[in-house]
Amino acid sequence: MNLYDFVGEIELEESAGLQVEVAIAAYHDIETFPDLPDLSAGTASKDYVDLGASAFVMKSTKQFHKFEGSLEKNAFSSQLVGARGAKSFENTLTIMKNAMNSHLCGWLRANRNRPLVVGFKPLMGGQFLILGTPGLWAEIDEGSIEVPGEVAGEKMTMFTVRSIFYPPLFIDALPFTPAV
Amino acid sequence: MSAKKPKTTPILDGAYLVVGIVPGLCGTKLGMVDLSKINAAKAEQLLAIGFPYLRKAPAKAEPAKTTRRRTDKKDSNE
Repeated sequence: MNLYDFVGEIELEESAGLQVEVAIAAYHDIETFPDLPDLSAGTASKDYVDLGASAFVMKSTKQFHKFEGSLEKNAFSSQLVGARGAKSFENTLTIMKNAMNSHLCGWLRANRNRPLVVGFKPLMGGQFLILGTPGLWAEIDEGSIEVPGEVAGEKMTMFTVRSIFYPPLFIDALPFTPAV
Repeated sequence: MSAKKPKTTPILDGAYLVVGIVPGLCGTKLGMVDLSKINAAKAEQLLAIGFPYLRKAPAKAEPAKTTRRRTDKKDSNE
């Protein structure tokens, strides 16, 4: 694991914000995970987090599912936690939909305790960022359903997905169609 | 033990193979792409970015040329 220059590489359309669609799979529906980046083989810093064109192999009939949040509501935070010299990542994806209905309540009921793998994209597009790795799945950490009394209040269904240890990993593609 | 060979589904008249999934919606670096509705140009774009769920079908072998005389026709002199 080498140290490399960072010389200001940015995307031309950098901005805050996430795309509204999030990809969510049940951890146990995944047959094979992409190989995690090899820390001894990287030739650039991005190689330590980039899964590139490798693929998730899902179990037969299983797939990633879409969850459509609201515009400018999904948010992501990754923090370095732990003692100096023993730092680790703690990642939190917030997914919010300004609605409350049977589909959302049912989704929370069915998935609140389910081990997950979750993918999301920044507004600039490109690769998905993945939370959840072999043995370290992502989980719903918090969730709430709010229906304020005032019509101007923010009605919403919200949940956070938390993963640990690894930073978010980048991958080119995810399947939203069943495996054969 | 060798890894399980992924199943493939031909699309675009068999010119391309969808690998391991039903031809349908995928999230890609090019955005959402429905593999059941793409054309050859989009397929080539996906191959160019290394999209892992698609590959080009191997070229079909030319039918072997034969010099064997056909025997199913009766000789006109008979």
